Amino acid sequence: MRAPSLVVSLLLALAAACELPTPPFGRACDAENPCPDGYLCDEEACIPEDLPADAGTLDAGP
Amino acid sequence: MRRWLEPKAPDARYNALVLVPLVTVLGVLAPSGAPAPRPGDGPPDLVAKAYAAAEELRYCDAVPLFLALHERAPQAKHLYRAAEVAYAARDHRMALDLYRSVLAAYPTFEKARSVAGKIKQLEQLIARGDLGEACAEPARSCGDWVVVPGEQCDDGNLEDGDGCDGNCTLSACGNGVRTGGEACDDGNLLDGDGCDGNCTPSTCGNGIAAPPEECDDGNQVDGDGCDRGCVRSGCGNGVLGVDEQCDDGNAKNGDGCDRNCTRSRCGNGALQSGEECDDGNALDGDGCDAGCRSTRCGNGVVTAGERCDDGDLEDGDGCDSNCTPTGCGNGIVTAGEDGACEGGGPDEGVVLLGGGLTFAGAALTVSSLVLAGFGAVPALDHAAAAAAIEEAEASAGDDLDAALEDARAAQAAASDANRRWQSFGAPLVVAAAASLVVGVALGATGIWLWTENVAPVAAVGDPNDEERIP
Repeated sequence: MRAPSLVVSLLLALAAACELPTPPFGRACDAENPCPDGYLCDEEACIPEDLPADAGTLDAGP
Repeated sequence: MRRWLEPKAPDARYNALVLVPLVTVLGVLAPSGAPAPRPGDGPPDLVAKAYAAAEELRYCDAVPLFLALHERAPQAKHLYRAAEVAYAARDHRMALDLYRSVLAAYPTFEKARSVAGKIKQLEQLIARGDLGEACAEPARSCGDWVVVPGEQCDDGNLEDGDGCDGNCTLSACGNGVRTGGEACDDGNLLDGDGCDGNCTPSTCGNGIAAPPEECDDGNQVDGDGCDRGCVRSGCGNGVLGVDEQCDDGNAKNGDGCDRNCTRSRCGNGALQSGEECDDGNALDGDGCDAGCRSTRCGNGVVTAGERCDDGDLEDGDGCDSNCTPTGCGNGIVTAGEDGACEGGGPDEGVVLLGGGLTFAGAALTVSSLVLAGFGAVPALDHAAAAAAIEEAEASAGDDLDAALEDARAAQAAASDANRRWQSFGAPLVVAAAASLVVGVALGATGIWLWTENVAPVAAVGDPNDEERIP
């Protein structure tokens, strides 16, 4: 009985390690969950750094 | 029966009344005064004889002669002359009968008036009781022109072969007189009594089949239906005929010439000692093989379904008792082989196992694919969410707020898909992959068992792969 449970645990562990990669745009962010390179955290959401200044309602950068 | 009397010497009155008129009637009698025969008068010899009898006053003798003449040449004058000589013989009753016959047969006869007068005269004589002198019936013999009972004919002579033979029978086979063309004539038409019905001696070849002859076609030619010795043409009659190799006159086989008239040998169609069969040919595999042994394994002849045939049913001698070469896999356990080598045929257990494994492998493979499909659903959902995020990012330059709103929704969907993928999607796919491997392995094992155990046995006996081992 131990072997099957071991196999199931192994499978689950393997699956947990297999997280599907998600594009960062719009992902929630804060100091503990920073955005990846090329993105900046703006109003708790990752947005591209090279977004044009006049895009949307965002204020132009300093 | 009327008696015939010898004629008496006529007296003067008779001569005056009868003979002179008779002579007048007959004319000049033969030979000095016989009328010259005319065509249709009848046989000249008979004419001469009749007239000679009358001339010699042998009237009673002349009567039957004229009657015989009338019989052969029916003319009024012949019958009339018969009556006249009867009258001359003074046989009143016979004369009356004959005269009446003349008038009855020839009413227009030129002397009818005279005949009528004679009839009247004779009737008066007889009425008075004067019958005259009846002629005595003469002794008759063959050759006297008069046909009497017992004679078929009488041509006035005893010559044979002239139509009426010397025994007064018609010239023909079976009349007892050998005449032209007859080799014999025993007086009958019976066959086999020495002289057959065709007047040839009772011998083979005379055209008459008489016992003990089976046939007789009148010749001694063989093969024409009736052979020499008067036996029917055919095998076994002792006469070599067309299409016969031999003919020893019996129906025994194996004595050199068999009952079908072929020389005793295997393949002649006649079964003889030492042959199991004989179908008349040397073809193998048709039930009776060359060598006249029945088609079967062990008869020494390789036929369909046999890869070898060494003439025995011994195993391990190169060709085993199932007519396959000695060796592992031929179904016969021989020296040096173990039971595993020879199942003696496809092992049912192995066959079942192979089939079961193949089926289980296929089922597992299919179910694994289905499982993998279910497991892949979260991954597909995540891929769709990721695509939506990238699309929103691409439109961020136009309207960042809207793009962010879309991106957040897609991020939530991606997060949900990721959670489902990690909780059951990925494990399902991994398990399905493992199951797929196991299923394929099982199926392959099953197929291998089948091909290794069933196919080789089925291949034994393939006539296309014959290996002739004598």
